[in-house]
Amino acid sequence: MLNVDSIRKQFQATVAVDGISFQVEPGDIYGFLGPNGAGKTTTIRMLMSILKPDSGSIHLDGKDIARVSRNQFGYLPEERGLYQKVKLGDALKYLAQLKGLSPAESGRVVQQWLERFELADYMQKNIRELSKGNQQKVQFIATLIHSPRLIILDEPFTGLDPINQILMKDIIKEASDRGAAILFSTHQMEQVERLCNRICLINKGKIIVEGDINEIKARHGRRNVDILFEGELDESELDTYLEDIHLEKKRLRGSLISSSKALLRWISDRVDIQSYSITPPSLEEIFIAEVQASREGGEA
Amino acid sequence: MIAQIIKWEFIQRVKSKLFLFTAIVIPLFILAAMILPSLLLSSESTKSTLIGLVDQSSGIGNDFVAQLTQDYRLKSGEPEFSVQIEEDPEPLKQALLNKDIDAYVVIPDSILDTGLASLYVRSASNFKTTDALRRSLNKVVLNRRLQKYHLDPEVVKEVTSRVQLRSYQLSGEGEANESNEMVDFFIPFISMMILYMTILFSSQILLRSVIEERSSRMIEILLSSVTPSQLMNGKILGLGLLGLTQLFFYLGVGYVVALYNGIESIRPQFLLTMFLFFVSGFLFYAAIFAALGSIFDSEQEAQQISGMVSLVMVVPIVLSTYFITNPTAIATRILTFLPPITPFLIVLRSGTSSIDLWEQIVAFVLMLLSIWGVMKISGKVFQTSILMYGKRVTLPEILRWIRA
Repeated sequence: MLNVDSIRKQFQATVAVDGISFQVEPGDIYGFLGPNGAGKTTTIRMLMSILKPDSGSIHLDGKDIARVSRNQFGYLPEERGLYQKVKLGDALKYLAQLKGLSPAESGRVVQQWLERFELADYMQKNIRELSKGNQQKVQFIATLIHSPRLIILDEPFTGLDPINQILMKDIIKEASDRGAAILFSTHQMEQVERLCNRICLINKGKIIVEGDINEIKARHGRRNVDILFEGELDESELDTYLEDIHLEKKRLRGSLISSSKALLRWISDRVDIQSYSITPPSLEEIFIAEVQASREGGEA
Repeated sequence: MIAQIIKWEFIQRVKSKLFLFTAIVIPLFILAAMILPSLLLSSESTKSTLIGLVDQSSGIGNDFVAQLTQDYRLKSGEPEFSVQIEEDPEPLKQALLNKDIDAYVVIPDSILDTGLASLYVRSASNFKTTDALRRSLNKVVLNRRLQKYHLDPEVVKEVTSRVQLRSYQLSGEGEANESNEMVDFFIPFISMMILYMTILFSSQILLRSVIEERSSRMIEILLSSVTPSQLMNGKILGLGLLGLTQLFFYLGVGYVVALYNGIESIRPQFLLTMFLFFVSGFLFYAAIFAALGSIFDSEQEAQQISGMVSLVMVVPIVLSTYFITNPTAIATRILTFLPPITPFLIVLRSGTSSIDLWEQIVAFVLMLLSIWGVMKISGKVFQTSILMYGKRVTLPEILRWIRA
């Protein structure tokens, strides 16, 4: 559906995006990750054809993105705000009409969405009278009001309370169920792990990791062991099996560098194992490890 | 899409208090200020005014009362002034302080020689009464002096009657219109002021509107729906309509004022000139202000440069006396073709009927060309800088965008 092919964007001396390619299919919730200044916002602006790539191409359903009607896009920018001195209902209707809805239609959908978000009472109020959290809900409505096919959410959850986060997640999932492609950019890794099926991690304008979230975890060598035991354990020989060793009185944590079998055999000879678990790395660990690796690679 | 932007910008602003104030309240206020005083002054009083008189001369007082009664009458035909004559000023003084009379006059014996008499009032501001008393007394004294030299008042009046120089203004078609110097100066000046106020007002609103969308971070949401050029053009057209609405109000009020003063000043060609040069002047400045709005993060930051741009618009106002009194001087003619001030000079000069049609056409074409140029440059600047925040854009950078 969305096909990004080696796009590049340079601002004077700095290369913001350096040959990024990926695909997002209908129903995908695609995590787009990277540290500050990695080129996320520039990439997103190119996807929205707010910026034009210097080279490479972006296609939606085989059509060049610059020629696709913007009515198909729903975009929640990271730096976002609303008119302050305007009535809530008027502002949302205007935004809906800019996306091609008729005045009558826009009135109807604005009413529906405000009811769903329990904001219908504020319809005639100035936006600046709304709380910050409510303003965020309104921005969310503005992004989705015209049922776009390509939805781009840049840090959608910052500043939202847990209850509204759940509401937003439900709505994102609904959009995915109706076949929209969703690109979800954030620093909050646990959100990505819960919501996304595929991710792309970029740094310094380049892709570091891309693909199915479970495959990435499996592919990533690091496995974390967490052992609870009874007895005395000597740290000296552990480093043949583990790194990042944290040894407490009755607990051992670390990341495997040998086979799990070897470690188990070695430990069970010495202490009484109470519990033993191996967990795949969290996205956060992958994120940090990969960014650090790419930094070291870059400096070497 | 652009239709929605035009409609939005127009409706949001036309509802605003600022617009209501500048477009409707101010002209109505000016209207009231111009019409009310003369309305009040010309409304004749229905009650006669009681005044006192102390006559220390030989019978001038009686003549004065007769003259006053003859010259000033109420609508009902009754004398406007009724006069209480006393030997001594003292009772009149009391009566004045008790508000029984409005004024009293003391005519000294020496009046024929010195030409001096005294008027006592509670407040010195009743211009109408003072004027009436002075005129009547003057007539009486004049007649007495003429009698003294055995001169016939009728003859003297004929001998001293003044020469009148009546001016006629010849228009292109050879018609002669009686001209009026005040009107000749004020009509062009006021027309130019109207143009200045409407263009400045709507382009300032445009600047504010762009800055508001930037500072509220609304802009990126909008740009996922429309292109920067759609946004800029929609705003310019929407606020242009706002300016036209205001122009319409101002001209309406101007028309009423002119009619009230008996000036048939607004010709259809002149209205067309106003319209065309409002539109072209607005587009010229709107393009500049839209680009300025896209560069700055807040109104305060934009103020300095927008103030400088507005200063250019003030030049024709500062020099208007020169332009109106020298409408065909070389300097005036040349400055007419300088695009930033063309609209103002055209309106000023066509108000003095001192401009040829070819000059208007050439000036308009020049305007259109410069609008095209300014729009192109501003479009580039707007498109590039609209999403840049917190970074002061430098002139070399802007020049690079324009060349790109």
